[in-house]
Amino acid sequence: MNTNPLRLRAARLLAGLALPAVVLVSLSLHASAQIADADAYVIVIREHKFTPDRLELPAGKKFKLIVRNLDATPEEFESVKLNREKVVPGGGEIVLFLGPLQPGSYDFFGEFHAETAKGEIIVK
Amino acid sequence: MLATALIVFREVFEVSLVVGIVLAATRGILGRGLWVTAGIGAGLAGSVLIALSAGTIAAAAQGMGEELLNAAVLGVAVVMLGWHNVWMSRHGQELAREMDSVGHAVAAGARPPYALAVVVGLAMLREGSEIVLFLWGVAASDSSPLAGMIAGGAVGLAGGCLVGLALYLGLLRIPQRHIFTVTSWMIVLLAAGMAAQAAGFLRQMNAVPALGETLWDTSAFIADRSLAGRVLHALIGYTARPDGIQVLAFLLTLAAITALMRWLGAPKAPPAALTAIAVVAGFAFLYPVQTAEASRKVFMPLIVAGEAEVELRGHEDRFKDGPAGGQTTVELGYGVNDHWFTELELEFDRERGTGETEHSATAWENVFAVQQGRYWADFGGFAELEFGQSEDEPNTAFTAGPIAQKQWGATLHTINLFLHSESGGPRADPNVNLLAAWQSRWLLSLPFQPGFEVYAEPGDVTHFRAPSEQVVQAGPVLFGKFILPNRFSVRYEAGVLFGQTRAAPEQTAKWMVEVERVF
Repeated sequence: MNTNPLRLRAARLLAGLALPAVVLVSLSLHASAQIADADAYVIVIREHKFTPDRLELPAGKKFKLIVRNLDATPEEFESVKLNREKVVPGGGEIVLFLGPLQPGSYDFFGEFHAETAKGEIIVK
Repeated sequence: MLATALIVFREVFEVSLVVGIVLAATRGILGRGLWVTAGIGAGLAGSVLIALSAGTIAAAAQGMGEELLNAAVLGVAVVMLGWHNVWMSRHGQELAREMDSVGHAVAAGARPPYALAVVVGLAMLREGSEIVLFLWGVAASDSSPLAGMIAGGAVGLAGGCLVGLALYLGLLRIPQRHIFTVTSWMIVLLAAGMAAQAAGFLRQMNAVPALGETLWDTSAFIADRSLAGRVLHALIGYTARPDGIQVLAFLLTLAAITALMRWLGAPKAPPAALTAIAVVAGFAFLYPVQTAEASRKVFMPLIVAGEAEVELRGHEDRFKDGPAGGQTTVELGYGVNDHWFTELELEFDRERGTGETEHSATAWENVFAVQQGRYWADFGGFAELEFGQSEDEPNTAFTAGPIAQKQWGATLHTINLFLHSESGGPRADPNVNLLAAWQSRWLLSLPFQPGFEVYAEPGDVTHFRAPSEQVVQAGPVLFGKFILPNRFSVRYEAGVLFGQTRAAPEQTAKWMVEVERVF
């Protein structure tokens, strides 16, 4: 058995880094397959309001949320319960990967126009 | 039994007065009962916690821990009440119109109830901890049979709630168009009274001068202990023998909140919560900061591209044996893209013992993140390069490691596992140390997310120290964010970590304030 302390330390460090790397790669392969089949829902921002402002989705499934901004100015899609915060540029769109969610109500808002840009996702 | 009833009545009465005003001010806002109840529940839980650690608090701050805690709790309540009033003066008219339409959720009505839930929680915290302590003391002294105490407590609770209800119903008789004005004024007076009370505690600690002790004595007219005196005390902070500093605090708070309401009442106004930031930051520099271990911050694998932030944070460590120490940090950061956030950091340590502040390190920090939601958990990484600026610090230090985050229902959990190595300078640690941190938080609302954190430094990654030599701390932390106009927002964190091992500080208080803007 090689008892050189430096080699031992290096070996342990390498093992420590390799394990998470293997986990990450296998997870990403698994996840990519899932995401490709996931349902996609579209929310449009127009005049600082979300349309639809209420989505009903099934529980326990991964899904994609496409937020399309038809206004000229950017909006920030934000939700505490969904743990998301992302800027949608004016005239642009973003894709959010969400779920699986437990049943309940998940409200979201546009941070830059919080008075009018509001909505919720109801998961059943 | 009578003694218990009277004490409980007095404390519950003061809380129910605050609750009554808060409920009247938020009438028509959906869900506000839930927020007030949450505030009461949180305050109650917190007060039991405080009562349990009463000995530690009293001994802290050179025996003035309790006064400092009271002053701090009242100070936060003042800020929250002021914020509520300023917000209401901006949106009050809209709300008055909308409250008339049945079943219509109030526009952005979510904001004031949150702030007021905090106020209610703080009021409950103060009074609740006194109730718990008192009842504990009575029970311990065996001077009252348990049945009598319970009966007395129940009577006191009922009595206190009844008075609060009476106030609430009395307030509701006021015509709708006046209700905002009346409750706004009651809240301003409540905040001014709390400020005067806080000033009184600071004066007892000799943290501020008295500016004339006992400016006047109106005990002959309304004594502190009389019913009228207690009502006035709860509503406007009345005290028969005020010190000059209390009168000053009262008048200043009155003037400041009223001025802010007038000045910022117009729709296109600069951010109001900058006042709150200034107050928190001001408090930060009152705290002595002394040398400490790694920063008490859990990093998230979440990046907002295009967002710049200025962060001010610190922590103070108190030890069972020896003087306190701590650190304050100023940071400037920017989200370059969805996957990379970079930050420049200046660290200031204050020596344990001498209390001297010195610029200890300059650091370049980076957070990396994968696309959120793609995988079973959100993954990321951290890498920091530190340059020591004082003789005590190593010349350079490097910290790096993975970050992972997973949401379960309404809770969010994050882990940091970093390796830290130092080189150069007389005190560089030759080991490669593991720095582990864990955070759990409840995604309750934007401004109010309670949670806890655990920090562990077990030592060299290949050879951990004996358990008692490791530094392990854990404790509750509160997180939150407020939205400001013009794409600004403010985040805060505040918490207390309790040492779990002999090598750890007995208590570490941590705080953070951050201003962000998307460009």
